[in-house]
Parts: sequence; structure tokens; C-alpha cells
Amino acid sequence: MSQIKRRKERLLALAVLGGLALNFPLLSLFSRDELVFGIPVLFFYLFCFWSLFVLLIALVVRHRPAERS
Amino acid sequence: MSWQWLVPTVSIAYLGLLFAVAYYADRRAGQGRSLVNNPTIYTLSIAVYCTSWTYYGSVGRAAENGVGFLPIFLGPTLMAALWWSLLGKIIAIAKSNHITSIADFIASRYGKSPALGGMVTLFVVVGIMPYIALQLKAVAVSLDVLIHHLDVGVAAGVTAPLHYETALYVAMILALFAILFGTRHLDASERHEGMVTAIAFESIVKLGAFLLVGLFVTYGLFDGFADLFGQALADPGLKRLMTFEVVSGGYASWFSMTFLAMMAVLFLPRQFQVLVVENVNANHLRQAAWLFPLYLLAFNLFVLPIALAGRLLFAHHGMDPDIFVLTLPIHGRQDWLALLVYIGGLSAATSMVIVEAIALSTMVSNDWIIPLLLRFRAAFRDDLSGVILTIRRGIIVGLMLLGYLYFRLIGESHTLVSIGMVSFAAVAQFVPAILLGIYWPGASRRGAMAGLLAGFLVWSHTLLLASFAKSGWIAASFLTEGPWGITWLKPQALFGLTLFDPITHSVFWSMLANVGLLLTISLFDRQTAVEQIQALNFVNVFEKGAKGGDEYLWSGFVAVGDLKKVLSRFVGPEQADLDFAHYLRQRHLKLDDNAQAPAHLVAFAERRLTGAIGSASARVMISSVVKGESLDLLGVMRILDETSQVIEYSQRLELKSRQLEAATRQLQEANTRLQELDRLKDEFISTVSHELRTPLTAIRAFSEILRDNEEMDAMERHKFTEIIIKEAERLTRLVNQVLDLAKMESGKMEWHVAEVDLAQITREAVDATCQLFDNKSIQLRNEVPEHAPRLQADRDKIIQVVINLLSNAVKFCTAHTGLVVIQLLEDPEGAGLTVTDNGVGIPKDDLDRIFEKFHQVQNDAADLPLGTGLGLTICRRIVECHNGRIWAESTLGERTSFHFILPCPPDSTDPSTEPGPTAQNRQIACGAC
Repeated sequence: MSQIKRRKERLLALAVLGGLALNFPLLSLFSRDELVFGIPVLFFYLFCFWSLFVLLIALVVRHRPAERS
Repeated sequence: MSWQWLVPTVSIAYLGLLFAVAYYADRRAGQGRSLVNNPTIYTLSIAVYCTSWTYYGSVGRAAENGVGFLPIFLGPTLMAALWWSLLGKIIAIAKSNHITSIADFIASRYGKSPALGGMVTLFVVVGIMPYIALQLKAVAVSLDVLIHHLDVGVAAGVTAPLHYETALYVAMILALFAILFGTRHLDASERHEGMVTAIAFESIVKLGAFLLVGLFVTYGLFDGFADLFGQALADPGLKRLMTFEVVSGGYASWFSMTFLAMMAVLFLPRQFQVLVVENVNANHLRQAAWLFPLYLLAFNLFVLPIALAGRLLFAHHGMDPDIFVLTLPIHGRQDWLALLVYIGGLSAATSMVIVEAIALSTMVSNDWIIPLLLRFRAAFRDDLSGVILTIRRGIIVGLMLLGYLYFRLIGESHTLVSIGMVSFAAVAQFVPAILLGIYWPGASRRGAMAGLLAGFLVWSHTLLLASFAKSGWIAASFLTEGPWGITWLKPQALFGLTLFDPITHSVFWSMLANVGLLLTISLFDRQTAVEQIQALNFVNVFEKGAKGGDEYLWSGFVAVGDLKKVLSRFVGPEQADLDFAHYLRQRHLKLDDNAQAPAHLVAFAERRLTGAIGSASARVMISSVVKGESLDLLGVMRILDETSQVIEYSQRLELKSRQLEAATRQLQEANTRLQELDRLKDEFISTVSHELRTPLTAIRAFSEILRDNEEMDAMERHKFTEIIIKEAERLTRLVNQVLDLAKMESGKMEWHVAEVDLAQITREAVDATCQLFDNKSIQLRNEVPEHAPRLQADRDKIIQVVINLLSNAVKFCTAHTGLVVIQLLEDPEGAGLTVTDNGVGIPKDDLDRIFEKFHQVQNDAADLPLGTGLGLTICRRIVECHNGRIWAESTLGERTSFHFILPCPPDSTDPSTEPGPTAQNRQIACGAC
């Protein structure tokens, strides 16, 4: 049970991280009319972070074999 | 080919397919092979969040605001990380209380208040109705735009004619769907599997269509992302779209939109419906927490490319960016793709309307119509379940017509443009009442009502009325100069705050008023009993025993039959019978209809009724049949108080009785010991007297012989005198030992503890007894080494022990062949001596008893000198008073060993060590021996 609680705390921390990364002032660092890999910097950053965020949630919530018991 | 006919036909065919999917899922559910009990279907149903506003509007927004469309989807992504804990709790609460809507949730939390439920429902209808109208408009517009552009191509400056009736037909088909698949059972807390499956199916269709058009635009019309973005970057008008400068409202707007979207994804009525009411298993949240953000990510991947492509390709057409998704495939001569895109948009709109209609109909019927119905007592008599279902169906049709009417009235005005955000801001007003309500038991009904009311007034003033003013319904001066010319009440610059865009401005002021009032009033309020119990029920939903606190709410009397009758009026008699039978079987109860219903059964009936008619009405219904009072705050407090007092008393009693038991046991033990001691004392006295009498008899007998026989020869006389002296000595010894023993046992013996050397002690004891050995010609071997360990002990007493043991050994040895060996004994517990003789030995049975008083080994060897029978007893006393141990081992006919061992001080070589316990301490310690 405490394992589950710990994971919920990680998710909370993740949400705080997301809230910071997707807001002023961090966002302003990427507001440039340039391309990376042929993609606008801001667009690239937002979607990369988004994918990473989804991946991290999936890692935290995934069912582990030990949980079955 | 005539698109004029084909497009409507395909639309109707698609809606027919939806009916088929829903029908199939309902049939599967009926067979017990549910499709919905699956985390992926659950996640897809949550994607009802993506409406036609997302589908068409995101591109339109991106074409003007760059990444400004993203907060609507980033907010839910952030929220998804909290679903497991936050939404998990909400689901648990809703399930244990049979809650079926957001209005019921808030009403139930704040003391099952009908007023609060009605208020929330009103706000929801006002806030969401434009949103439904927006969807109907999207369907009508997209249909006309598609047909028009398929016929005439994408020429400049041509706008499509709008056929309003399309929206009406669509609204009616959707109403039919909602009625068929959303109002099957009366208990709204039962799941609508067909509806959910159809929604999940629609989520796949809209995502697939949008991804296809995105891929076509990026790789068909352009040469991939790099080409598209490269061309856009070269265009000075589009270059800015890639930065944050174009986002209207800037970072503040970005932040407030993210916040609104976070809340909307949980608390929009349709979201609450699919997330909470339709949830089969709270564990599905775990997959939804990552799959849903992934769905949103996929949906948004091509929004900016499509918007940029539209801007590049239709630069001079003046085309509405909202329909880029439809016109780009036509521009690329992919008419069938355009048709598919249109179907995707249709699915986005219809799924939203269906779920919203079902959610709203539950709310309106449970929080408006049924409370009104219950006022007319006459209606109670019959089975109301059919009536309620009919009411719900009527409400669905009514809502659809209302949405259509709204669309017709302000269809062309720009009121609809930002209506999605306005609805989000309306829903955000429920957030403080819900979130504070499930984490803070102190939030009170009056606080929640005041907060909600204030929040909605501010919202209406700053957003709703302002948008009316913009569409010309109210004089424009309302916006520019404020109502009645009061400038600080200007709806978009309240109190002169001009820092923010209208949405952020409204969110700031409404949240300030809402949270502020909720907190302040709650802090100064007194909650009623129902409120307190519900607050604890909600906040502690995961704690064991939290459920069932509502049983305290019913203290009156009601017969089981009456209770069943109330339930059967709303769910039908068969269902009511089934429910009761099931519940009683679970609890192993047997109650006939005339029996008095226990409080938990009343609470069960209330919960069951809540699923059908909402918590507030359920409470009203149950209290109409329960005789006596439902408890007031004082009553509940008294019950709780009494209970806790009784518990405390019984705990105290238990403690007392435990103490008494312990005392009795101690007394019994003491008594037994006393009796034993008494018996020992008697025995001792009789033994001592007996032992004293033996030498006395001898002395007297020989003295009489000497007195009576004057002429006895000198030799004989001398021999008799010797005997008399010997017996007298024995008598003295005996008396001395008895005195010693008595002293030791009464604790009056004085002990002089000092450091002693075992080797020296042995030497002195040997010297003192050497005469005994010589007399019987017994050999004594002293094998104790010179450097024996030093002990803390009373030197004289230990010498006495050794002397006793040695003289004892002499007694049992045969003259001339006897051998006594004295050795050092060392082991971890301490040091001591072993005295071994090669005498007759002691039978095994006697080994333990030889240390008892006056116990003498019965022996056939008659010539053995008699001891006092106290020597070994004294040895044991002395050794035990030193916390040591004495014991004997023997092999019959071969040898006997006596061992005693005394504990060594912790570090006997350290001269600075304390010299051990003082004499006085010893005395006290020995008193217990």
C-alpha cells in the first residue's frame, strides 16, 4: 500500500514539473522563429516534453508483477 | 455525382452505424460479456473531451494564435498525472454514495441539500447550453461547407449558404440515440454500455480522420514537415506564428487556459459522466492516465501544420481558418478524404452532444423535476419509475430543442466563437466546492452556496453578459462604460483591472470570489449533523468504517415493508424486492415486512434511491416514511458522546478487572508460599528437636552410666567421657549451625564482602581440615593453581563452604583408600571449586535433596559418622546469597563431586572497580533468599 502511495506522490511531483515546464518563464526560452530538424523550436519543445511526460506517467503507473499478490 | 444527396445519406448511414455499435454493446452486456470493462475503451470514451471545437476550432485558433490552441490539451495532460489519486477518490465517493452527476455530488457532499443541487444544475444548463449549440452549428456548417465546396471548388470569396434545418434533424437523431441508449434503466448509476462503446468508436473515427488529413496535408500537399515549416518561415506573415508573440493574452492567458482545461476535463458534465459514472473499475484510471494524454498528443500533432498549410495555400481566398480541415483535401482533389474528414467532425460533435444530453437530463430530472414532483403528495401513490424515465426522455428532447433554438437565435453572432472557453470558465466554478469538499471536512453548505453563487455572478457579468453585449443583445455601452455608467463595474475591467484578457480576467475575479467566500464562510459556520456526516464520508472515503456513518442519520421507526414500498415506487416492485432480498442475504438477516428496519437498511434504501432520483430527493422520500425524527446535530453528538463514554467506561472496567485478577493471583501465590513456609518451619522445629534429642540422649545415658557405676575401670570411664564430650561438641555445632541458618534465612546475617583469592581460601580450608583427613588416613590433593581468579565475596563464609564440603567428603570416604581432590572450576558465568571424593556415591534420586535441611543419605554403611544434616544446606544458602550456584554429581560406588560457582565481577583484574555491593546491600539482597 505504501508503494502505491509513493507512486502517487511521484505523479504529484510529475504534475508540478509539467506545470513549471509548460509555463512562463521556461516557455519563453523557446519562443524563437528558428527551426530544429526542420521544426519550429517552440513546437518541437512542446511536443517533445509532452511525449516525455506521457512516457513518465506510463512508467509510474504501470502494473508491476509484484503488485499481483 | 451529386454530393447534395450523397453527403446527407452518408451522414445518416454513419449515425445508423453508431446505433448498431451501441446495440451490439448493449447485447454483449446483457449476455455478461461486457465490452466496456476494458481500460482502452474507457480511455477512448474519455476522448469525448475532443469535440468539433477541437476538430475544426483548433486549426482556426492555430492559424491566428500559433501554439495558443495547446493549453486546452496540455491542461488535461497535466491533470492526467493526478487522476490516479484525485479522480480515484472521486470515483470511490461516487460509487459508495450512488452519485450520478456533478450536481448530485456537490449536493450530497454538503448535507444532501436540494437547493445546492438545483443551483448547480441551473448553472450547468446555463453554462453548457451554448456549448451544445456550438456542436449543432458545427454539424450544420460543416455539412453545408462540404457540399458547397465539393460542388464549386475552393474559389475565392464564395461562402456557403447555411441550412439551419440540418441542425434540427441531427439534434433529433441524437436525442433518439440518447433516449434509446441513455435512459434504459432508471438507476442512473447503472452504466450505459452501448452509449460508452459508441463514444469510444467515435473517438477512433475522429482521431483516424484527423490524422489522415494531417498526413495528406503534410506529405501530399507539401514535402513533409521540414518543407512546410520552411515555407512558412519564409513568409513574413507566418513567421510570427512559430513564436509566443502571437498568443493572444500572452503567458497569463496561457496559464489560465491551462488551469481551465485541467478542471474542465474532470468536471464538464460529459467528462464526469464518462470518467466517474461510467467507470467500471477504478484501476482503469492507470492506463487512462497515460493513454489519454497520448491520444491528445496524436490529435494535436498535425494542427499547426494544417493551419500553416491553409494559410500558405489560401493566402488570398479570405477563407475561414475553421474549415481548413475540410477545404484542404478538396483543394488537393481528394473529395473522398474530405467526406471522411467531415464524418470525423460529425463524430466529434455527436459524441459530445449525446453524453452531455444524458448527463444533463439526469441532473435536470433529479435536481429540478423530481423535487417538484415530490411536492405533489398525490403522485406518491403509484409506481413512479415509468414516469421518471419518461421525464428524462422528455428532458433530453427538450435540451436538444433548446440547443437548436440557441443556435438559431445567435447562430451568426460571434457569441459562439469563444463559447467553449466560456463554458470551461463556468464549470471551473464547481472546482472549489468539489476539491475543498473532498479534502477538507470543514467546508460547509452555506460556504459552498455563497462561493458558487458569487463565482457565477462574476462569471455571468464578466463573460456571459459581456458576450451578449458584443452580439448586440445589450447596449454596447455595457462593455465600454460599464452598467449604468459605473466604470469600475466594466465587465472586462472589473475594478479597473485591465492587465488580462477577458477569460483570464473572469477566471481571476470569479475564483477569488468563489474560493474566498467558501473559505471565509466555512470557517465561521456551524455545520448540521447531515453535513458533518457527509463531509466525513467524503473526506475519509478510503478509511475502513467510514462508510455507514450515514446510519446515524436515521433514528426513527419504519417497517421494512414501508421502506420497500417507497423504493418500489421509483424502481419498480420487482427490482425493489430483488434489492432487499439481496441486501438481507448479504447481511444474513431475516426480516419480514412488518419488522422494524434497522438503521443500516434505511441507509441502504436511501443510497439505492439516490441512484434513481438523486441524493436530496432520496433523503426527502425516506424521511417521509420514517416515523420519529431524523437526528439533529445535538442528537448525533449525544449518541457519539454516549457511545464514546460507554466505551471509556468499559475500558476502565476491563483495566480494573485485569488489575484485580493480577492482585488475586499474587495473593494466592503469597498464601501458598506462606503455607509452605509454615509447614517448613514446623518440620524444621520437629527435626531440630529430634536432632537435638539424639546427642542429648547419648550424653544423658553415658552420664547416668558413669554416675551409677562408681567402680568402673579408668579405661572405660575415659572412653565414656570421650563420647560425652564428642556428643556435646556435636550438639554445640548443631546449635551453631541452626543459629547460622536462622540468621541467614531471616536476612540478619552480616556479610563482609571483599576481594577474595580462591587459592588462599582453599589453602586455609585445607589447613583447617587436615586433622580430619589424617585421622582417617585419607589422601587430600589440592589442585587449585596459585593464580586463581579473584572474586567479590565474604571470605569467612566461603571458607566455611569449602570446609563443609571437605568434611562431607571425608565422611563418605573409606579410611586408608579414600582420596579427595579439590580443583578450580572456571566457566563463563564465574569461578568456583570442585570437591571430588571416591566414596560410596549418592543415589540419583537424592542428588537434589541432599541440600535440604536434615536430609541425610540413608546408607547401609553403619559406621559412617553422623553429620548435623545442615552442612550442605548452609553451603547452598551461602552460595546463593553470593548469586552463585551449587550442585552435586555422583556415580554410585565410584565418586561424588560437589561444585560451586560464584559470579566474577565484570572486570576482576581492574583495581579501580568498585568493591562490589556493600555489606548492607548484601544483607538486603539476602533477605530475599
